[in-house]
Amino acid sequence: MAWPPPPKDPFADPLDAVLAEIAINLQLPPGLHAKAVDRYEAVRTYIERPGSPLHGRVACFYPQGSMRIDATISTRGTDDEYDIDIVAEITGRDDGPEALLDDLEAALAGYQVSKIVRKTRCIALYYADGMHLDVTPARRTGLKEKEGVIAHAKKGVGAPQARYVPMNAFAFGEWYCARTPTEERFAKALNERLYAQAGMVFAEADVHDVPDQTPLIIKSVTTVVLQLLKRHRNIAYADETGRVPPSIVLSCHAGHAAQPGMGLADMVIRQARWTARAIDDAARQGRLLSVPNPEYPAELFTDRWPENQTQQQGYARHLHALANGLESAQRGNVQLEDLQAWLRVQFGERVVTRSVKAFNDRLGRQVKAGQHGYTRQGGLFTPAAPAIIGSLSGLAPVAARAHTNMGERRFS
Amino acid sequence: MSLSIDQQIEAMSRLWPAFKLVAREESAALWQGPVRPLLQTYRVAIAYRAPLMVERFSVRVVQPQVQILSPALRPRRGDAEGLLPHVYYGPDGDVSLCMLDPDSDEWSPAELLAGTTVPWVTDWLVAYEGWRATGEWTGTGRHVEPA
Repeated sequence: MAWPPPPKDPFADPLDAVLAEIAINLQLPPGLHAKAVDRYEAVRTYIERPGSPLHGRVACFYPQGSMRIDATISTRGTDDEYDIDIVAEITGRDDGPEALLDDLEAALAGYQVSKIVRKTRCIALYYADGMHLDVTPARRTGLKEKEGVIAHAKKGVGAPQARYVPMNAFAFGEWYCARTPTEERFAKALNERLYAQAGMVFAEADVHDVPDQTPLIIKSVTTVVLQLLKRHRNIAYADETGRVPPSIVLSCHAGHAAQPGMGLADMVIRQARWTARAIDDAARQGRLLSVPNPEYPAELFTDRWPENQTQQQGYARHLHALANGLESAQRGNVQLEDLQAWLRVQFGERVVTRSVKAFNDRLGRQVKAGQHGYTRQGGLFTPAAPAIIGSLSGLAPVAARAHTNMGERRFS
Repeated sequence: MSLSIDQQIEAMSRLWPAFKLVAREESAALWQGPVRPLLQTYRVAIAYRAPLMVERFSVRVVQPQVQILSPALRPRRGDAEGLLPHVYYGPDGDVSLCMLDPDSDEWSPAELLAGTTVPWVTDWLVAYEGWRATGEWTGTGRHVEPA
C-alpha cells in the first residue's frame, strides 16, 4: 500500500535537514553583510576622494558574484574568511587594461587595511577580521546596462598579455535573481534558525517585509545548494594550489537548474549532475567546458578554467560522487554516524560535526517537547513549524507522548 | 482496564500494516516489522502478553519487550551511557529497549502498543543514532542504578 509522502518542509526529510544545518553553518554571520556594505561604501568614498587618480571617474560601484546573489560562504579551506567582490565602473581616458589597474591601485594606496594585493584582474583588500574585498575595475562599452570590459593584466609583464575581457556581472546578477525567487517557507525556517544561532530573533511572518536589522540572508533552495556546492569544491581542492572550478560557473549552472519547490538533497543532486554532465558532454566531444554569461555571451565564465581535460573530468568525478552518495542515502540505508563520516569528506570536518550536533540537539528538543509526529514508515517527523503536525493526513495517526527511556548501564 | 490482545492486534494491523503478526498464543503476540526513523530501516520485534482482567500485574513485568533484529545495535566501550544507553539485558545477553518508566503512569495495558510502543521505538532509535554520531543522548532518559 502506498502511503502519501509527508508534506514538504525544509526539515521534514532527515537528509534535507542535515544539509540545511550544514548550509546554516556556512552562512556569513548576521551583521557581516551590513559590515561588508559599509566597507565597500567606505572604499568607494576613498577612491573618489579629491586628489585620487579616480576622483570624479567612478560611474558606479556595485557588488558582483556571490554577494550580488546572496551566495557568499567562508573562503576556500577555511571557516573564518569571506570574499566580497565589487565592480568599480571607471569612466574617462582609456590608457589600456594595465593602466586601469594602475589607477585603481594608486587610488587605494594608503587605505587602512591589513594588506593590499594587486591581482591580475582586481585589487584585493584584506581586513584583519578575515574579510577580503576584491575591487575589479571595469569600463562600460555597450549600450546595455553595465555591459563592458574588465582589465586582465599582470603588473610589469607588459602590454602583449594585457587585454580587456568582456563582462556584464550586473546583468548576470539580475538574471540569476529573477530565476531564484524567495521561497517563503524555506527562507523563513532557515533564517529563523540562522538568527537563533546568533542569539537573535527573526520573527517576520512575511519574508518580503523584513526589517533592516534582520535582513533575509537565506532566500532560495537553489542558492543554498549553490553554497553547498561551493563548499564542496573548496574542500575537494583545499590542498591544491592551482585554479579551481570558478564560482561563477557553478552560479550560472545553478541559475539554469533552478526549480523552486525542490528539496535540498534533490537540488544538490540536480545541480551537481548539471555541471558534471555538461563536463561529460564536452569531454565526449573532445572539448573543454564552455559556459557563457546568459546575458552577454561574449563573456565566457570558463575563460580561465578548465585548462585541460584532466582538470574538468576530475571535477566531474567529484560532483558525480557527491550526487551518488546523496542518492544512496535517500534510497538505501545509512545511519547518522555513517552519514556524518561521509559528509565530513564532502563538506569538511568542523562544519559537518557542528551541523550534525545541531541536528541531533534539535531532534532531542522537539521530541522532549512533543513537537513531532511520525511518518507511516515509522519515521520521525520534526518540521520547522510543529503546529502543522495535527493537520497532516500524510502522517501516521499517532500522537507524540512523553515517555522516559530507562534501562541499566553496563560497561562491559 | 487492560485491552485484549485482539484489540492490540487489530490496532497494530490498522496503524502499522507493515508490522506482521508472526506468532500468537492465547493472550500473547509477537510482531515483526520495519521502522525507518531517519535514513536507516530497522527490523523490530515486539512481544507482548496482555494481562487477564482479573490478573494483578506490574507494568515492569508486562511491558512489551522490544528488540532490534537488524541491523545490530552498535555498542561503544568507554561511554558514560554504558555500552548501549537505555536498554535491559536478558540472562543470555539479549538486549531489549527500555522506553518507559514502569513506576510512573506513562504506560499501562490499557494503552495501544500501536500508539505508544511503535512510536517510542522510533524516538529511541533517533536518540540512539544521535548518540552514536555525537556521543550525546538527547532523548529523554534515566538510568536504573543498582541500589
